[in-house]
Amino acid sequence: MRSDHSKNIKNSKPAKGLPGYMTVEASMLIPLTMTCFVIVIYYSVFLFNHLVVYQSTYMAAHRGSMLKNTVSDAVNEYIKQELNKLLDEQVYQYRVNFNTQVNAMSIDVTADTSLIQHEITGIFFSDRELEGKKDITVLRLDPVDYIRNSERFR
Amino acid sequence: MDPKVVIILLLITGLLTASVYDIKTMCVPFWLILCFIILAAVSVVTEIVHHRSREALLTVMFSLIPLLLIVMSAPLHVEFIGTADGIIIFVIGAVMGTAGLVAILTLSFIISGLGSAFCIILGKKNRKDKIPLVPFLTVGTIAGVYLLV
Repeated sequence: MRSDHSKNIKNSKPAKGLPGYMTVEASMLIPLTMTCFVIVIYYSVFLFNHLVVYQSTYMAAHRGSMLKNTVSDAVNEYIKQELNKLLDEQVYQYRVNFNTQVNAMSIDVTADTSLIQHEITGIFFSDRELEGKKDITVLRLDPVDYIRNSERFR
Repeated sequence: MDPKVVIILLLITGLLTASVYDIKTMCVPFWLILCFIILAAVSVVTEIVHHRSREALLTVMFSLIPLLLIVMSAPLHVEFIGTADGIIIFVIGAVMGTAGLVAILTLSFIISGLGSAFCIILGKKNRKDKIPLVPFLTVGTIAGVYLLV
């Protein structure tokens, strides 16, 4: 069957057109290569988003710590606004939940991140696989004052 | 009726015709390739005029990547895929958009890979044998249109 088809192609007149074939080898290699590329790109997006979220969390907490003589609720609100501003249009297909706790001494920000799953990607990656959690604690006290006070205390 | 639907129907018709030629002669005729290019141009112009979207130009540039790779590999005599297939991939990209092209190519190559593996296991084909790609692209396009639209 195969040889008949090949003979027909060889015996036929030179076709007035462009070649439209693919080798069997390539047809097996290309899907494998594509799959590898897709997995690498998908994990890269995941990693990039995680880094952006972690950095933004730290920056928001640090900015919040700059507010002096401010009540905890106002600092809390300010950190949330800053975090929303920093993450706006920076992360791709991402879900971020964050909690902030402002004490007199420190600010704790917890960012819980996960990649939004699609129907197709859900087949390959489970929900738990692409989740990340980051806890950041930033001191509210001015370090210079803190050192001076500790020196005095000594 | 949305002009996009008409263009997609024309694309599928063209692909079915090209598949018949490809299976018979492993070639796609010039007139059909010309029709495909005109269809791609009409699709891009329609996208820009009708939807007032300039993303169509970006899509065209993205779709050109496979074609450029195939054309650039020609002097190296790395004949793993035909030029007609590159042009058809470009046309599919111009009509269906970037996401559609990626989905269609993935489906097509997976189907062709499975088919080739099946042929090798049965001993009907060797590693260096050539198989027509346009029928697989057609099946991928029809499946992609069914899934995406």
